[in-house]
Amino acid sequence: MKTDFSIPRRQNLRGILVVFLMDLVKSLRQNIYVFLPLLSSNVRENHLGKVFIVLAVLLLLQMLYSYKSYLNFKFHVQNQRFLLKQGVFSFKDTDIPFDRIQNININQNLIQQMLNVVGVEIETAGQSTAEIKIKALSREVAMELKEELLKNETSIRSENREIIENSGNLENDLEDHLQSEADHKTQHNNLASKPSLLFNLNIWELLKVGISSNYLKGFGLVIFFISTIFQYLEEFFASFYKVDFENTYLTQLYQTFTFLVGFIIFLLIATFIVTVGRTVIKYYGLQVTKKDNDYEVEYGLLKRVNQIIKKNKAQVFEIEENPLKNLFQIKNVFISQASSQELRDKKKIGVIGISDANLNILFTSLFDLNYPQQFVNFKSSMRLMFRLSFAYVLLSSLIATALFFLQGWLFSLVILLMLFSVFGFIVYKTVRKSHIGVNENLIEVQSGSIHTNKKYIAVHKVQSISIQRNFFQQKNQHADLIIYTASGKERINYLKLEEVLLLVNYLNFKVEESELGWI
Amino acid sequence: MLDFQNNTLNIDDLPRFEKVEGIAVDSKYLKVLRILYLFWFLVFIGAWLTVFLTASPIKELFFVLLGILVILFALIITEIEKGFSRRKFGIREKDILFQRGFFVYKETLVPYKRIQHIELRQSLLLKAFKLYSLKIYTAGSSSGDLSIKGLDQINADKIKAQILKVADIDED
Repeated sequence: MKTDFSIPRRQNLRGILVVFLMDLVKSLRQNIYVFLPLLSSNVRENHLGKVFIVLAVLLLLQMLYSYKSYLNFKFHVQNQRFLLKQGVFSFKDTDIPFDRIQNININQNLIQQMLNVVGVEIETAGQSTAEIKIKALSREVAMELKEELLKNETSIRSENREIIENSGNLENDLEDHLQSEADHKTQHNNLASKPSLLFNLNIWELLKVGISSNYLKGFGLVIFFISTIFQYLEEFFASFYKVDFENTYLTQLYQTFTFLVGFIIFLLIATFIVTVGRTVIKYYGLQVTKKDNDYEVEYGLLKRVNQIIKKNKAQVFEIEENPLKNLFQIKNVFISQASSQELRDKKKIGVIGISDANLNILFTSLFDLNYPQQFVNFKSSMRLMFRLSFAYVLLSSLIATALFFLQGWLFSLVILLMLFSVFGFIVYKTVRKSHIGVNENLIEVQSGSIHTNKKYIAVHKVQSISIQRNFFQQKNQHADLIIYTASGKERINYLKLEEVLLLVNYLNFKVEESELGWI
Repeated sequence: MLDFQNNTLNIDDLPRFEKVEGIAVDSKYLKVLRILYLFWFLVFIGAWLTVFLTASPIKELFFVLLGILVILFALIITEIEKGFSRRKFGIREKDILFQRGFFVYKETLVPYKRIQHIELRQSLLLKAFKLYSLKIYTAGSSSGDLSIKGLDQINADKIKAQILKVADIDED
């Protein structure tokens, strides 16, 4: 090793310029609207001198700031840790153990290319994309640093390393490719197994999934679509039939009624088509193949999605059921994997319309346990109903008030009672279904109202645990439990405080005792 | 009361985090918080006054706005003043605990094993009071990370050392 990383060092000297230029580009991009007044000829003619003075001062300040930030940016390596000090007005000390480093990207933007330096990004598995950005190192030093940081990399780690698809990563990308190919080869030697099809979904089964999905989203889309074109439609019909809507309502009651019924039927059909269509387009030709220890999932009509489920990367295993799906004997499974950014619904891997037998295979290969499992359950308290009802009561009261002024008290009362009973039922179901179960190896978090949603998390994949108690809960000895994993958080509302304390102590003990890592 | 199947471990013998005696953050940090809320209160009231005095066609609306502002700050100040004594951290052998909050009391427990990296920050205001804020990152979502603000040098170093010690044991 030519470069000694154990003493704190700054970036390459050319870094002063790189830091300055990159900061400049950044502040220009953020404050581009400042230049808007320059578009007016009046400003250009009368105030050009002042504008230049202000710009010059800003430029000078930026230069000083960048220079200071270059001077204060110092990193070194000590005891298998990467340490960094930085900051101009507020100071920041970062400390990363080597074994927590997920990725090291070496890249080069235009500015860095001109000055012949490279940027190094060090990623850990936290939520932000890159926690550490070194803006300017010579390529040799960058390579040495990378080598130094990866020196004690274990075999498990290299297997987990992802290939970053970033056009900026030039040789580095290639190197990673080669290495991962080598990894693959060794894997193949160990377990020479051909990819085998676990299951695929034909169009008839896909329709079943579509029919049994949640219609609320589709309904929302249809309502949104109609409300945007309603005005246009109204004009269109008015010019066509030459009728005045206001008059028609009053005089032709019968026709209005048929129109209303027709409209509702149209709404229902449109919702149905939109919902089923969305499912079919998104998951068309879904197939799951087993490759060594991983599963490959492929789906999509317009955009073909190909995702790989890795056992150690999988964090949350979600099973979705509802009464219709039970009738068809299918379930939806969604698998969330550790991701460097906050997980969105889009990133979940969907294996929908799966049969119980296949579900068992998938579950077993991800957890090494059979499905279903026995759990000790803790239920949400019925007090949760108050919290959940709040929004519903507000909504129904608003609707009822509006109806009172439009149609009178009787109609409004009938609708209010109907809404109350529907919402009451949903709230009751939601509270009844909400529970957390634990056993030796797994956590089960159940939620849902009409549908049932069960999430399974291996105990050793828990990152941290929170207990939250609002003002009332502090008085009545209840608490919300929040479990954080590398792919988001699970929240179980309104459990008894003593049960939560037991759960937290138990889970925490299991996490600390376990030899297994979360990835 | 609980019956974990096949379980040799007695649930009552587990170390209990709720028994940990928390250590309060430095009382100087309350001064920092007071300076901050006073500053923002003056800024908002100042902004309200300037708009109110320069251009005000609808007086009622402005008073409603003032009311909202005052209630909001009353809540924030209650949270800070009443909740300050609840800002406590606990260092255990294998995990770190932080508690805070008056209206919503939140306790977060992070095992050292799951810590990705730590950050010691010092803004200008904190620097003036010789205080630090320690941020502990896990791979979980950011609301599960710990952020202990207002530590003095000794405590900050103590926590850091404890985390490093355990991390070093892991590597052996």
